[in-house]
Amino acid sequence: MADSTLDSELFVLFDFWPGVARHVTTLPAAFTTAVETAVFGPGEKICIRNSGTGIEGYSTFIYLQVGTQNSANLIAAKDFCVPGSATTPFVVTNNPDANVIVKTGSPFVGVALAASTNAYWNWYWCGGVCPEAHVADLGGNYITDNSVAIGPMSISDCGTGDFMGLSVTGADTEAVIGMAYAADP
Amino acid sequence: MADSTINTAYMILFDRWPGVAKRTNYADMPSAWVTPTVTATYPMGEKICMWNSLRTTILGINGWTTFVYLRLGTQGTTIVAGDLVVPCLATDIYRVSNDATGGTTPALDAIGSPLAAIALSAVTNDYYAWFWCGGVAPTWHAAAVGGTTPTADGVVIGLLGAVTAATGTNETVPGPIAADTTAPIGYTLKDDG
Repeated sequence: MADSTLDSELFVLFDFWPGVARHVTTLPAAFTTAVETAVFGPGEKICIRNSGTGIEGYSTFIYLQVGTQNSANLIAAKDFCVPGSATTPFVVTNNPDANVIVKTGSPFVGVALAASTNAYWNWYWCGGVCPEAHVADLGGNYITDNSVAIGPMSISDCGTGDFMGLSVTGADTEAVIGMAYAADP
Repeated sequence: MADSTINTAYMILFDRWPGVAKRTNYADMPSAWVTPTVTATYPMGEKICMWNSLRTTILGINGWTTFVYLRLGTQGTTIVAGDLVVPCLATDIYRVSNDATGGTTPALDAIGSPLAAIALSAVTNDYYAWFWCGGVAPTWHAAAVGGTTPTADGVVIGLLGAVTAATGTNETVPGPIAADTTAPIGYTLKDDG
């Protein structure tokens, strides 16, 4: 386990991934199901309104491929993933100890919507409010390193349990990937 | 010359220029759209976003790339494809230069400017051109952007800022983030050198 958690309604994410998102009013079919063969372009982004459950606002998703996930902590909904290859940044992993380019301070973060299989493609939450009206499994607590304060957040190796998690921005070399509206408990 | 180099394929830029880029198909762009012109053919600050495919002979990344339409001021070191520029005129935010401290239009904020872009080709002073400002390197659209570009030495995997080269000419180049007053303009997937 990591050190603490932050509720899905207490933070928003900033999207640094390349390109601009398409506004959509409906999500693709079988939206959370990982697939072996990509059906969208790598890095495709869509933006949709989250309404009814969670924070009212816009959420952005990006289409990514899992590289090699952490065998000790297989990817599940709400897991933070970061790029794992210098030549294919759209291939990501949740493993802070292997196949990660930068585990603390990466500007490129994707939150898994569901379990995945190595080398499979899926959509990931990457910007805006938590899209829990669209993906119920995204509601609830997110892993932090027990340092999050109201204000800018970065992504960090939580140290225990091989999880990437939210952290207070600790240096000018760390990208601010989100804003916390409360400290982690 | 700057202090080191990095292959542009390992750089991903953050677009902080005003406005939202239009997603555009390459086929909808006029021929020779990457060639600078003496008169503007697009509104200043116009932004477009296109898919970058791979060329077999140039290292690159499949992904989205964003361009902004800018006007060059007075260049310092002669600009070539891959060179970084930043705003240089307080009364025209879209006028840019690679000249960190000298010349007639030096950079307003050579160290730490959040607004930065990279030339797609050589540009004549006062000409208008599209510049790469976000996403992956547009190696398919402007092959000359492929390959190495100057950096300040010391770039490591992580955030990039606009800085002044430590040696040689007063050139604005990508470099490491040295202070919280330096805005990240992008990310590098590899060290320079």
